[in-house]
Amino acid sequence: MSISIGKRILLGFVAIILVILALGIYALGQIGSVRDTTDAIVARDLTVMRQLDELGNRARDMGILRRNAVIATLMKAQGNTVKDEDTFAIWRRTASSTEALYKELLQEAADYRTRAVSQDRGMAWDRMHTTLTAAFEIYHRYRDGSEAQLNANAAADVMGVESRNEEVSRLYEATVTGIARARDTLDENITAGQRGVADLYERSRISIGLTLAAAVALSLLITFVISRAVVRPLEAVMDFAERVGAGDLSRTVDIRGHDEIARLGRALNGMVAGLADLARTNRAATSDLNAAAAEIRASAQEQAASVEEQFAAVQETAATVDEITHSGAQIGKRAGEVIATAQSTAQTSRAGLRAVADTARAMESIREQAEAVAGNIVALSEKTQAIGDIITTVNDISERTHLLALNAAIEAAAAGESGRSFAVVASEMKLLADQAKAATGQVRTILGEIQRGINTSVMLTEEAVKRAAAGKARSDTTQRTIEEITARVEESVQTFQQIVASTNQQQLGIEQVMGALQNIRQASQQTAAGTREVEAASANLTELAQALMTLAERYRH
Amino acid sequence: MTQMRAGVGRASTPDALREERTRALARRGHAATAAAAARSYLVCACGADRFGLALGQVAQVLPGRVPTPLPGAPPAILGLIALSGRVVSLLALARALGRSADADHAAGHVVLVRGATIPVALAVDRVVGVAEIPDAALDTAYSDAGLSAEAVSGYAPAGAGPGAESGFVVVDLPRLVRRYFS
Repeated sequence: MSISIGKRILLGFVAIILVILALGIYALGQIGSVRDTTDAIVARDLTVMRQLDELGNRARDMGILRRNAVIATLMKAQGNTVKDEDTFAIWRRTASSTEALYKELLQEAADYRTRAVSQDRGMAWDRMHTTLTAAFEIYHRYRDGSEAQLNANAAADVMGVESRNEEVSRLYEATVTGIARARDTLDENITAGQRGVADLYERSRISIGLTLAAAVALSLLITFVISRAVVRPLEAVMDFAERVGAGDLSRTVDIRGHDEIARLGRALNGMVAGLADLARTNRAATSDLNAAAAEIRASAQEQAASVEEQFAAVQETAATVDEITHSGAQIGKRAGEVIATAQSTAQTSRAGLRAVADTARAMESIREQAEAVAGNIVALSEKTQAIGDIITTVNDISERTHLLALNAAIEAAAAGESGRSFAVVASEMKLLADQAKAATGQVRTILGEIQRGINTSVMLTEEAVKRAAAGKARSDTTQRTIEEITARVEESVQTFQQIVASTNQQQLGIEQVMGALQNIRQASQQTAAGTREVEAASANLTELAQALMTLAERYRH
Repeated sequence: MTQMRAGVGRASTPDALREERTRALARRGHAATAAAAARSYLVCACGADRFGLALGQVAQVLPGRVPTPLPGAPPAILGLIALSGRVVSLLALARALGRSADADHAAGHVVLVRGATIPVALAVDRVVGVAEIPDAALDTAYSDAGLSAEAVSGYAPAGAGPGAESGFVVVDLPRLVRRYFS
């Protein structure tokens, strides 16, 4: 059966509620039937009682009417005047309504006899019917007698009235007695009704009590069934859980169906598998932990050794930092000296700058003077040109003189012997012309040399001008270089000042480092203490790991 | 300074000039005594060659001038020049004697020939001077000097005449003129 436990419990509750509901409905029905019965009895009895009262009244009215009529007749007979009334007609109306009432009562009695609430009541209504039938018979005779008397009255037969009066009075009594007997019967009937109602109530109470008992029994049964359906599977699971609690992780729960217990079983199986896994892991981890604790212990010992080394290293570092401090102070001192040197260098380079500026000016003046020299040499060259022209002229003259001497010699030869002395003069002239020509040639040669010298001088002067310009340019370059050097030196001064400042900051930093080293030393001591604690703790950890191993042994899997 | 001046030339100082002139005057008397059997020649230079012209056959020495070319003339005749209202034929001396000379070498001097049938002038590079050569020193027997033997009358040895570092050829001027202009 694969109904879930919740549904089972719900089903049980629904069943119990249905039983209680049926019980309530049944009880309400019983109460209703008691009430209906009581109502019916009370209504019927009251109706019949009222009708019997009415019947009694009518019977008495008829008697009174008859008596009045008799009295009136008697009075009339004695000669008294009486108020003439139609008593007979009234009596007849009353008689007829009385008869109708009788018939109605009989009808009702017969009716109720058949539809009685109980057999007792049926018998009571039967007796009522018998009594009423007897009373009705008596009433018939009483009416007939009365009618006859009244007829006699109408006929003013006093004798007839008187003769019949006793009979009629007896019948009247019988009638009244019959009605009274019917009332007694009704009383019995009421008693029987009360008894019937009591019986009904008693029956209802018993039946409701039985039904209640049945409902209680049914509820108990349902509860038992539910507990059986819920608790028994739970007990298996609980046994399993107890075994798990005892450390047995090697079993599983049988799973049947798909209800909550099955789900619980599956969850427990999963949990146990997980627990077994966990236990295995735990055991492995515990052994690892054991090993790790041992390693931690070894590491702590190593750390203690390294802390000692660290302590020694910190001492060495402190010594080194002290040396650094000294060397930093020396660096600062040296940097100050370098700054002084660089400042003197800057001053020297400024002096050099002035000297280079002077040199540049001197170069400029040299160049100007060389240009002036070049101009003078050019003027000189022009003069030598003029000298060349003059020499050309002299050469031309000497050439002409040469030709003139030759022609003179020719003329002298033509003149013969007389021209001999003239030939001598011509020869002298020619000699002079030749000498002049040679002299001009020498002058020309010298002039050429002078010209070449001038050209060389011009070139040299130009070269000097160029060199002076180059020297000026180089002086400018030197000036710029020296300016750059000065700037660099000033930068160097600034740099060294920064170095000095940095060195001072470094000194401060080194002091902080010294403080930090002091802290490190303290920390190393604390670390040593901590390492000892770690060692102790790792020993504890090892013990704990062994305890855990022992604990993990509890779990079989 | 003195050395440099001495290197420039001997005749650059007045004293030296005067001394040289004194020596030249002293040589004059010696030449005059030796002129008994000597003839004067006008020495002309054409390229590397030197020619001598008898002084009596020369009328005038003139500066060189540009001739007007004569069509159809032999290559030795350079052309015509105008001289004192006369038309003178200009003959290149070296070319006329069969020596090749530079064509573009302008004639430095022009020597006007005396006593020719037509006016003739000789174009030479330069008239060097007048040389007086004794007739005995003239080597007339040297007929085959690589020149035209007909127009050469002799050969003057070295050491004669002005600038006498080499000798010169004595030209028979009337024969040369006849060859070209008769």
